[in-house]
Parts: sequence; C-alpha cells; structure tokens
Amino acid sequence: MVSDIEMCVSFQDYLLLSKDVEDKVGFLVLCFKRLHPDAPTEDNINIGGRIAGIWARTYSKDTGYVLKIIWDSSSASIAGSHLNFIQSYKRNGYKQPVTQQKYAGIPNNYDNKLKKLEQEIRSK
Amino acid sequence: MKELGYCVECRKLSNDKVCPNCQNIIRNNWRECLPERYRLSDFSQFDNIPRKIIKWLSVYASNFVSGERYSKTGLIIYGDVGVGKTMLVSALCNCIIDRVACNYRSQYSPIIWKPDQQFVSECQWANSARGDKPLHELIEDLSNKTKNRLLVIDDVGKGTPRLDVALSSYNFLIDQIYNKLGWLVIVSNYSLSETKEYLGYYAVDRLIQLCGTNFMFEMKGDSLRE
Repeated sequence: MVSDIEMCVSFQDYLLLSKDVEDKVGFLVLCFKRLHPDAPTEDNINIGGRIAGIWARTYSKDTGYVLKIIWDSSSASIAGSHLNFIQSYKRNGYKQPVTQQKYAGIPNNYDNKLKKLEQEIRSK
Repeated sequence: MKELGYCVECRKLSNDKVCPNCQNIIRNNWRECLPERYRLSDFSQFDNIPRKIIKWLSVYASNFVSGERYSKTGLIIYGDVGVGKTMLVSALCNCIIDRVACNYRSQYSPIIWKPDQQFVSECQWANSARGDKPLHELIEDLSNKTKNRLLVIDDVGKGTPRLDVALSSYNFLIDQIYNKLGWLVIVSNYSLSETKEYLGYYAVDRLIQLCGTNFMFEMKGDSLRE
C-alpha cells in the first residue's frame, strides 16, 4: 500500500509535470476526495470551482501551496467545511476565525481573576 | 574524598570527571546561545529590583538544576521596554549554566534561546510548502527538548503581532510543554490580560498553571537605556 508521504510526493510530481490547468484542478479535486473520504456532502458541492478559486486567489500561484492546504486539511481536526473555511480566510483576512476561536468557552469572571493575579504580582 | 582520576577531555589528573579548565571551556560554549550583550550578566548587577525576585529566580534555577519537574516549571517576566527583562533572564541562564553538571564536551547547552521572530519564522517556514518538516513535528521536537533544557522565548509578540501561524504555534507549543512538564521562560511586554488578548484564554490558563504566582514577575520603572 502507498504511504501518505509517498502519495504526497507523487502528487507534487504530477502537478509539476502536468501543464494543463484543468487537468491540475481535476487532479486536486481527486486529491481532496482521496484525502477526505468521509467529508460531508456540502464539502463536495462545486468543489472544482472552489479549488480553482482558492488557487487563483493564492498569492504564491504555487500548486504546492494549494496541495499543502489540502494536505494539511486532512490532518487538521477541523470538522465540516474546510474549503469554506479557507475561502472565508482568503476573503475576510485571517483575524476572524482566530478571534472566534479565542473566546470560545471563556468563563465570565476570568478577566477579574487575571486582574487579581496581576495585582498580586505587582505587589511583590 | 573523591578519587583522583583523569579528565575525559584533556587526560590530565583531576578530581572530577572533567577538570575545571575544560569545564570553563564547555560552559563558555554553552553561553554562545545567549545574545552577546548579555553573556556576562549576573544577578549582582541588579540593584533596583527587589531581592525577593532574585531569591525566587535562584529557587527556579536550583529547581531546574536538580530536575524537579513536578514543581512549577514555567516563568513569566513582563514589563515595559528597557527595564532589564532580557538581562535578568540572561542572568538566570548564566546562573543555570554555572550550576549544571558538566560531564562531557558534546553535552548540549541547558538553554535554548529563541527570540520571538526566530521562533515564528521557523514555524512559518515549516508551515510553507517548502518546509522540510511539518509544523507539528517542529513544535513537538522543541517541546521534547524542554524536558531537560530550558526554553527561553524573548519578547513574545513583539515582531509578529496577530500572525495566524504565530498564534497557533504558540498555543500548540504551550500546550505541549504543559503536558510534558517542560521548562519554559517567557519574556514579554504584554501583561497577563494583554497576553490573553494575544494568545487566547487557553494558552494563558496553561501558563498560569505552569508558572504559579511565585514565578510570575512584573518589572516596573523607566527605561534604563541611554
């Protein structure tokens, strides 16, 4: 059986050799489906267009970069629409998802606790 | 009384495994990881800060030297620009370097010194398509090293504010060090509340547990730079 690393290397070789853009996008779609066999159906809707869109918006114009995003998404534990996440990342800048994540589950009195701790440290 | 033997480095007669001369050479090599300006800094240079802080830093150094990983293993020093934070941490590093047992030449330095920009750019490189190893491996390797070496991150958040890679890397690193009971020193301009704004609630909560109130210090005063 082909290991994950060998598969990744062969993906990169293929992308470098292939000169047809549609062929490359098609191949990236195959990569995504291979790496995400259990992806929810909403991830697979218009996937070719979205991958092409992400590719067009990447600053590096580098197929390796897109492959890296797809590759990382297989190992990251981001549930649901990862491609939508990447698209919103590209559209809205990088602050939004991080700030949303930062305040999740924070207790109400945590700021007070920190202030008390800072006062304690200051009084040393 | 110790038996007289031979130094493993220079083969001269010595009471210790490594003779004092060779130990000096090795310890000076270890000091090369510190910034050149601070290589000779020492606790005795600090007249303006409370002796209590120096006392706790000595306790921290002796905990590290004796390998008490089940005590508090973190240290946070924050304060304004130019009040001597980096110098104080360098003095701590020098104190540790002087006290750690030195057994052979190829022994690693007990200190890993990383300025914020260096750490973040390494993470960015690992995260890029050209990186030779994935980001999570880089951070896991680094956190494994902190089991017996002291990781100092200088000026957290200074050069790379609000970078996504930086935030996720710091969060993962702190989480890993917290889980592995590693040794971590953080020097920053941000207070705890500001660090919460920068790194998030999870990271700060782990840092508080890692350091305890005894090993968190604020340095006050005007800039000492002239």
